[in-house]
Amino acid sequence: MSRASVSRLKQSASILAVTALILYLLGMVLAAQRFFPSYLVVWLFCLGISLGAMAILLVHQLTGGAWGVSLRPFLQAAMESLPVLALLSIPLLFRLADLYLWARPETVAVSGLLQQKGWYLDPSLFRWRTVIYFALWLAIAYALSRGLTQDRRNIAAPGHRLGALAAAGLIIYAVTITLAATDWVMSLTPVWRSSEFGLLVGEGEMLSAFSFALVCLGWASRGPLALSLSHDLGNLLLMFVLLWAYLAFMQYLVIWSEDLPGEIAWYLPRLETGWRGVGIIVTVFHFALPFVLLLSRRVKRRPLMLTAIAGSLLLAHLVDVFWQVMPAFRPGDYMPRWSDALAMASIGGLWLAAFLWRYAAQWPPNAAIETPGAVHHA
Amino acid sequence: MSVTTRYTDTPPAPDEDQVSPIARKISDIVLARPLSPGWLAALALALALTLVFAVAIVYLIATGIGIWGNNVPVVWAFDITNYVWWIAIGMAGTFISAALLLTRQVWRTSINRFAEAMTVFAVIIAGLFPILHLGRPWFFYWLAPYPNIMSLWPQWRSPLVWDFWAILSYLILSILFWYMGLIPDLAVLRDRARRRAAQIIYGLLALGWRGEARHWQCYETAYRLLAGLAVPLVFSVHSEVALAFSAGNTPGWHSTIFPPFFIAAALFSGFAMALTIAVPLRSVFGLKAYITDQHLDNIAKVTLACGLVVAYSYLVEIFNAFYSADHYDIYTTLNRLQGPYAWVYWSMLLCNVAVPQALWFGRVRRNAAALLIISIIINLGMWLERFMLIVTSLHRDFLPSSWDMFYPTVWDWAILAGSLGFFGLLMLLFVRALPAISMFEMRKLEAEREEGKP
Repeated sequence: MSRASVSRLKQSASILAVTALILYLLGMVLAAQRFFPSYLVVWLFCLGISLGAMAILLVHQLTGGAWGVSLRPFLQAAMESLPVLALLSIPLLFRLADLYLWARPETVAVSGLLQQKGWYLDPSLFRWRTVIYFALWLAIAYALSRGLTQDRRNIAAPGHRLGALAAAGLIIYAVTITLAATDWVMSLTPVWRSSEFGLLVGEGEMLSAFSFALVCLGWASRGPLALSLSHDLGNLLLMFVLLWAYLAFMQYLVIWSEDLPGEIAWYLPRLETGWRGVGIIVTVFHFALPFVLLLSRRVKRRPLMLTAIAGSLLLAHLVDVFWQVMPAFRPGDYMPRWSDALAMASIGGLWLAAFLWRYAAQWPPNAAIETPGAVHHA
Repeated sequence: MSVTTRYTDTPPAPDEDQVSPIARKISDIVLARPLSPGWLAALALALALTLVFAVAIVYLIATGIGIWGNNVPVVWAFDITNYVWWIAIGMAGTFISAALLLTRQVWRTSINRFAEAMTVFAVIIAGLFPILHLGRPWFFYWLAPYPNIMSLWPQWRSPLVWDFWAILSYLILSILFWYMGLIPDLAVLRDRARRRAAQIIYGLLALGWRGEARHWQCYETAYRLLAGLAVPLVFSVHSEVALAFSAGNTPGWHSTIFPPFFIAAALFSGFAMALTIAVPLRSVFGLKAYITDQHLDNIAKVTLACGLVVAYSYLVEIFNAFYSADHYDIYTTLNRLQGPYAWVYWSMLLCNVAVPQALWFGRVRRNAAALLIISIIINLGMWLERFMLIVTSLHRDFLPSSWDMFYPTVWDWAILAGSLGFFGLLMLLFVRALPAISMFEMRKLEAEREEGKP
């Protein structure tokens, strides 16, 4: 990448940001109440990529490996877009009653269960928790980003790894993402609970971040990837897909086999209504198809194929988030609406602009340690 | 492959100079080392406990489950605790052999053989308990779908039926995988053995292995295939063990996190057991050059990571119970924390959560004695965990009128101690009858290092 293309990238990022911001304000002014469920879906999807990127970077600090070095620029830029999502969470925090049953005093007044759950599902506690999650996530992201940048500019000692930060960060991530998944998604169906849900959401986030980084790698690298690197990346993607399918299926199996009213309350609107088709799409594109394809050695060694699979997985993850969140607002009605498109263009656009800006800010890289295997050209 | 075949391609008796020092050192433990008094004493102890095991089983079959402390409502106790504990220990062997092979972690090479032996023995013992707890063990084959005139057919939706298949397939695959990996080494033993009986036995077991390029090609393909099969199988076994609990409605058992939690817990206890075996093994037989401090350090790190996932699961279980606002789940949680078995719960937290935190420190991870002590504490803690999970959920569930306590009898203890003795016996025989470290893989690793490959 040359100096000119870096400035072009920054230019497109700012155009994208301005357009997205206009659309965002449009959505907020024109259709606030309808806009918020779509807002939540896209915001959660983007948050998943940023946090998943952070988690993968932390894991890579502990394990090492060429795969992580090649994906690092994209993961780092995705992680550094986190502040945008922190800002975008503020409007949501003031409209909780539009999103959650337990945030409406009139509903809580007539529900014994919601009163019992009031010790946790309470609007002001919810806001405080969100502030704490973001404070912790931003602190980890800041420290990690500093360390990675020093590493890239060769300020730190060669081979220096941020082991302590990575271990602490991963522990904090595991705990906070479990509570955040409970807050933001599980409580959409207040009667429902699943102890595995935090793991499932956290894994899905890492899967979407990994897919996103693979798509970026396909977009940024003009030259061929080393075969063994492509193979490794394919295997890792396969591992993420398998782990996600395992967790999703185990949660379903345990709940299905006992068939308790409070637990199937999550699956009935999502699988026994018009949403069933969306569930099937998720099963096929989030698991079955990528699983079968990624078993093949030849597929894993073709970077173009790998990029295509990662792209479809990323889309499938968006559908998955949509399928988890939206049935709470539109029971039986699975068709996307214009507010969904508006949210995707505005919130997704703002996030993407932040990503491009942070990506451009990484140049010039120290070519000696940057992306072995992937060849960058001007 | 020329390097690795050097010691097998000149049958029947190779020139001793051609045997690599590694192969000589490791195979001498089997072929040349005299029986030491320490080993004989350990063998005598293990034999005595195995005898206790046999007596306890015979008495159980002759008399019935009534000799144990099990009774309504605590119908599962030591039997299923032992089962889950033993089968979990098997997990690490498969993980070290298969998953680390597929992810190209070369440090597995010197520890995979004894870890696989540990797996096979642990799974054999684990498989005994579900059969013994049936009450009438001679009818265990009713779990299999076979033509009969009793209109008997397994309930395929029951995790207890999956249990049967999961253990059976896991056992078969573990034995196959272990044996496959042994074949080239058995050929070395055959070629180096001086006594006729040893030559014949190892010769039969080596299946005519001559170290031809074609043999190696088939071997590599088959070994990787088996490894690829072993990884999903080991996940399925432990998920199935978890489902035997979580698919039911008992408070404290019905939890969606159980399948991944049981896998992490199995890895945790399995790696702890690998440490418990590795530390004495390498010091008694002088194998510190092969099972190095770096190996122990790596095993300790994996143990710590698994321990953290287990700790996470304990936390999530408590949070989920209170979040659910479910009367019975909350009661079961409080009963675990403060009830009559609270001492088990808190001991478990001490053993599984508090003590392993010492593994954060490099100095602890490189101190073999400390690792041995910590790993034994973890093994104890994991046994307590299964006991806690099983008994606290059963002894006080939905109906207070049927609440009761569980008290183990002498036969409960006898069968637990006996199973440990039997495991010890098998391990003791293994280290003197088969190479405890894979000779050809070590040789290959060394050759690659000499060539400068990573």
